[in-house]
Amino acid sequence: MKIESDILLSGSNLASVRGGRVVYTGLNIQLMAGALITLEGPNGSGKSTLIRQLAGLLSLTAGTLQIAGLDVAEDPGARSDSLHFSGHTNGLKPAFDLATNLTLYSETVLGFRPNRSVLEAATASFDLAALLDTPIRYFSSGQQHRSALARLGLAHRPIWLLDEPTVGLDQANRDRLRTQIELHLAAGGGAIIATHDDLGIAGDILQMTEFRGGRDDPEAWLWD
Amino acid sequence: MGLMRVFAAVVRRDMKLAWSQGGAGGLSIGFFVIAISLFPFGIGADKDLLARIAPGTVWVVAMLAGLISLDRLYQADFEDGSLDGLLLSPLPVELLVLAKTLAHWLAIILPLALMAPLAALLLNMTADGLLWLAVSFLVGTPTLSLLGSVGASLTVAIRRGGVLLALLILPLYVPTLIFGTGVVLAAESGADPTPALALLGAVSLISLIVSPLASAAALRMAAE
Repeated sequence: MKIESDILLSGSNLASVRGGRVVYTGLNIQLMAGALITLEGPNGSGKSTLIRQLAGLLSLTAGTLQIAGLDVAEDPGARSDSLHFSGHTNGLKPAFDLATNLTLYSETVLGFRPNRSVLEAATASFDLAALLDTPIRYFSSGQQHRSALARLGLAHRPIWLLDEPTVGLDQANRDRLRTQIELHLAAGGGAIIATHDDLGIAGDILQMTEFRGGRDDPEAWLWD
Repeated sequence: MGLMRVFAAVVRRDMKLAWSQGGAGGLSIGFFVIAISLFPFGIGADKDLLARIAPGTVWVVAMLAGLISLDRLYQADFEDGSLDGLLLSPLPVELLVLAKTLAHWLAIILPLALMAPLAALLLNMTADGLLWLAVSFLVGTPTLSLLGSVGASLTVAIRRGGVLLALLILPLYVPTLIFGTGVVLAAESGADPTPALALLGAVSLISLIVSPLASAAALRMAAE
């Protein structure tokens, strides 16, 4: 039975038009507490676009989106306390060490100053605690990606929006990521993850190709 | 209260970046001092001529020196992905822009303003002129960061947008240049410099209103 307050995120009739092309249309998505939704589909099917739209980095072309029970069109601040977003880029400054990077992120994006134990706990989840005081410019690309993922542990946010989180990770770190996601779900959080890999966690699959804008679509003229 | 803390954190973050390795702080000041010191070599030891061109020269070179740092104001964060994070922060984008612009002014332009009287000494400016040059810089230079932020946000997604940025922004600096040098010229000729100073302040205030709105709109478009 679905209880209203268990719905973390609810989007209905979402659509996206990119460069005059309908990427998807009529897309409905509902994320419940403790649930995982995996976005599947070939390159260009709109996985990243949907993740960015849910995060608020792209405006809604159509449809409505509710986060934590609030309509984001009326209450744009609804999102900032509710979600973690992790995209293709890592957002790290090479000149600063990992601890400084995480502190700057936490202060400017999450809105609090983390103490050393928070930083150590967050980085330990991805086996980076020993590198806290190493400048990012000495990190391998895999280590940089793990540093970006370590932000997920800085503060609790009920909704995780992850875009290709497994790219560049070896098996041991994929397992660490899986552990983090499982802990998050067990604590009542939800996650929407775009990936081509099998995460090994039970969850729903959203097949992006089902929402492709067809030629019989009212916006079909937008197809080149 | 929470928002002010995040605002201050963004200002601190950007000031730190401006003066870290790869930051533009040192570059701008170095350019300013070297470019000013070239003028006596090029023009020769005609003290009266140097004194006459001093106010305009110092203002123009300061504008160019500020321009060097402006193309990285948003682009660095855009390229490494940290702009996504900042756009998701609890700060409204207008305040985010204002925080980054304030940091640019404090970290890069204010040091130029403090150096300006020293640089003008190389050009044989009179004591009266030096005093009012400093005053005109403090009142007028916020425009350099504020209007520069509009240009930087418009060109954020353009590779090598620095030249385009100069073409966009330099014409907008004309009122500041006219009234900024007007203050110094008036003081040197024994006239009352305050009318020019008031107009210079008015330009800064108008920029303060226009800049956050225009820059925020341009950044939202760039994130799309």
